[in-house]
Amino acid sequence: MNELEQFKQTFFEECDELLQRFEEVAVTLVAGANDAEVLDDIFRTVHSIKAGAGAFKFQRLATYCHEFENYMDLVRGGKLQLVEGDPDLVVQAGDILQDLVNAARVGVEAEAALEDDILEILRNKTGAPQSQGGSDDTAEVSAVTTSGFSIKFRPHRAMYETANEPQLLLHALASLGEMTVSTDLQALPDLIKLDPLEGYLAWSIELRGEGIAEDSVREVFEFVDGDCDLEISALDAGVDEADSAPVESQAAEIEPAIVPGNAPAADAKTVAAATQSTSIRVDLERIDRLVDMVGELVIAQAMALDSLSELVDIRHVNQLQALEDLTMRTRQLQEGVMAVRMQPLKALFSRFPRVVRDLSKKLEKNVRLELEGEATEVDKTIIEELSDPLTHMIRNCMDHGLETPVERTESGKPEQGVVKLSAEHRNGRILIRVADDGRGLSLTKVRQKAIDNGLIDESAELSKEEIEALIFMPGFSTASEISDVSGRGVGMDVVRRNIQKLGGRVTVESDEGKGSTFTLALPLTLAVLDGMLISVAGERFVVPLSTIVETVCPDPSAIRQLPDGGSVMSIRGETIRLIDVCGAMSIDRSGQPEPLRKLAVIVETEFGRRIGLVVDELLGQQQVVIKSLEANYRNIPGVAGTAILGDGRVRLILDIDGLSSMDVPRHDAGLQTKSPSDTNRVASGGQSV
Amino acid sequence: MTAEEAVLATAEAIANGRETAPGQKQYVSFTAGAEQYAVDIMSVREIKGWTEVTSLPNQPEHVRGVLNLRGAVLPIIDLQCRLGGGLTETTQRHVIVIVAIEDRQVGLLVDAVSDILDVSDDKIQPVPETNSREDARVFSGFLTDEDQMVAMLDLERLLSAEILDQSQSEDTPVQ
Amino acid sequence: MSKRVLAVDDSKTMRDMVAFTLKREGFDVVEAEDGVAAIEASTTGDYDLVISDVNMPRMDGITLVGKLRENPKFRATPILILTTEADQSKKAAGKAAGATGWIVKPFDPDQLVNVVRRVCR
Repeated sequence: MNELEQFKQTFFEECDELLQRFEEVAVTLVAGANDAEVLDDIFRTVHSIKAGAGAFKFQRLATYCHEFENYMDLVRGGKLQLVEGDPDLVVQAGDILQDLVNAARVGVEAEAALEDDILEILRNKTGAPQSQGGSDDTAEVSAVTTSGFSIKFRPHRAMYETANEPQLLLHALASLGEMTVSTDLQALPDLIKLDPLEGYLAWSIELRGEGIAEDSVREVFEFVDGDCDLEISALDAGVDEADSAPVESQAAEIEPAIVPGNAPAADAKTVAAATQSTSIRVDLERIDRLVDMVGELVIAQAMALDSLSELVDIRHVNQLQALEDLTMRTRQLQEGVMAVRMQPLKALFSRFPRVVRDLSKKLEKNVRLELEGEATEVDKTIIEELSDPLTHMIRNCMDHGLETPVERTESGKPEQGVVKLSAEHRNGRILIRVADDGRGLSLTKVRQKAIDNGLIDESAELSKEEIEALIFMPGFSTASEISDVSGRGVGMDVVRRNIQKLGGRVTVESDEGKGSTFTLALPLTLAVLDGMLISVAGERFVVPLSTIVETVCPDPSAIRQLPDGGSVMSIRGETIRLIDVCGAMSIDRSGQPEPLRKLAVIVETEFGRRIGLVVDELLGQQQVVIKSLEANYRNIPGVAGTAILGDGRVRLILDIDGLSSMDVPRHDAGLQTKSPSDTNRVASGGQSV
Repeated sequence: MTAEEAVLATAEAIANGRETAPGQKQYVSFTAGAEQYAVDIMSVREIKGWTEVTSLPNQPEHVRGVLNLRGAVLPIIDLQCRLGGGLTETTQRHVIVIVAIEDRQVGLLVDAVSDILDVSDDKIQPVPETNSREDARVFSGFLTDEDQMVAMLDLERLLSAEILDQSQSEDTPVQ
Repeated sequence: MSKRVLAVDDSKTMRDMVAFTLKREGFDVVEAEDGVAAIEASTTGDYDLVISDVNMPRMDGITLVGKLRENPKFRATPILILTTEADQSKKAAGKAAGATGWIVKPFDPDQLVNVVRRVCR
């Protein structure tokens, strides 16, 4: 059923929110007294998940929640104190809860006996029976009578006070079988003495029918039990016979004489539905569609502007004004739509106290995590993609960066190490830093390792920054030495690649003995990019504006050809590598005149290294909507993505880091490349790392 | 058939698709080089006239570049070249057949769209086993129509190298 | 005119399910995410039935029932609480506060409709 699926989806979304909150608060638990609100939060999480799990028949999850909830209920009620180890137990129980939720979500059976150990501990603590009792939802089948029941029913005042309505109960009874009712009016006083809130009426009911369960009869009166006199007796055979004789029972017109309280009844006027919450849940797909459409609008708008640019004429000043207005509003609309996708980093950051806590135990290091800038907003997709790299970086800091307490004391540092995770917006990008006050990178060791692993030549002369950047090189950390902690078989090169995929860069700055700071610089959104349009041999490309340092028109004397065909130029005493965009993008220049003087666009790679892109012309800045090449094709080295420009044409966005590391051309067997020699020449030059 | 006629015919054929007799399928046939090819009409999304594409660096020759189709960036494959012929000398009369495969869209550059064919499955001859050329696998069969031989394209195989097989796109840096 | 139900639960899943089930039965359903929101809703609208969860942030369901009963407007309005399992203490507490009855979670749609029919015309 469709609705059910939809509810399930809502349920799982809700589980995510609840579990995230759970993570946040569970780590704050301590042995002894705890904040009531925290305990309530945890209890409610389990409770809510249980309810949903029950509704969707996730039996195992429901059973687990049930035990966990019992435990938390006792804790929050003060009947159980958290002792040493219990906070961890709760955190652990939360993990298993997450696992069970995940299993339910994808519709697989969770690992067998996954929760058994913890259930046993919880049951021990709550004093619940050890048996795998399951939920006690088995309603006993009650004795079934063949003929029916005789019921005497006299409501008390209290029954009316809880808004129970005899008439409705009688209706419910009538649905069980054939019913005859007589109303007992004896207790009804004179009108003058009548208390409208009192119950005066009583009813005698005979309910006949095959196989009516006494329980179903009792169920009808379930809510009024104790608020009425109720006698239920089975009609025995004797009565059955008597019944065949005419009895003075008439099908009573049930008209409960008294409606207590005189409710301003049903015909409520429709008043504007109150209290809608201030946020709504929207399917991400819908937002993405909106983002796409606005993207199209931006392109269409740019096209319109393009084609009307010849109108620049005093006679059309009004039209141009209108067009400018449209441009501005389009941009505003785009920003507004983008903002919908933005989320605070809090959701991501809140996972890390847990990571740090677990890991400090494992590593036997005393670590404090400091968070800053959690309110900083970033595109949701980026947040999702950041989880793994950040986790890895934090693990890395704790494993390799921070010293053991003994080492720290010896070197005069406080025993407790600090890992600081912070975020801020700067220049239209977001910066996320992971800093530690540990031992920092040892330049000599890093260098030696890079030589050992064949990444650099023994004779290579590298700056401090370049040596530090070596840790991001593929092959720097070899599988054998990746520890269980920061490991999972990924090195910093994978982190770098993931960040690059997001259009970001990662750099490290380290002070030997004092600590390291990793900085991620990311775009705020993946959808648009501020670009510089350049032209080379008649082809146009987009260079991400954020990478551009400056543009120079180099004097030929400042350029040196290298024996391998590459070239370098000197700028203010620094020697930088030049990359000929024409060659790197395998453009055929035949028939295209060489410009008199080429320009070098100085860009900065993620390593902080500068390279010069040799281009013919700069055409101006433009905001472009990024379109993935991968959606219908595949990644191409040196190309970060594509953009559709005002003329409707697709242009390639240059991938600066990709270009700078295209050190060896790919020789794909069987694939003819258009001009491998060009790339070869360009790419091999001057690449020392 | 001009591109426009082809579009109309295709649209009509898709609209009438349900009327095809059981066991029959409709194919769009086109020429590339001197040869006739056909693809299942269900995989054809659109047919448009040739426009200049944006070329991609260091790609196989038959990948002509990418094109903006209503906001999506599609690769354009030169069919003749992909099948071992030379590069197509494009003119305005050339046609791009946009096909969808595994949630991707790809344009095939062909000379012209020829026809919409109603073909029953049993009319399609299998590709002879003797053919050892790897490329033969891009055909799912042959249809002999009057005195023409039409090769049925297996799009998955045709496009697997660049479009579908993503393992190649992970560019593992070389030491 | 269809009956209006105020569905109070901090779980959107539950609210959705209650709303969906009852809307199918011809009720109008207004949702509130906790006791406080329900009180707000109760001041601006009239309802023929209130269905409330017990465990909720800010104001729990039992308190909500008590508060609603204090309001003359709700004195005769059936109020059902959603409890889990056979939690007698919650049922009793709900009753004491003036709840008309309860629905045991996990409810199935038929059960919900059944119970609602028992307390609401």
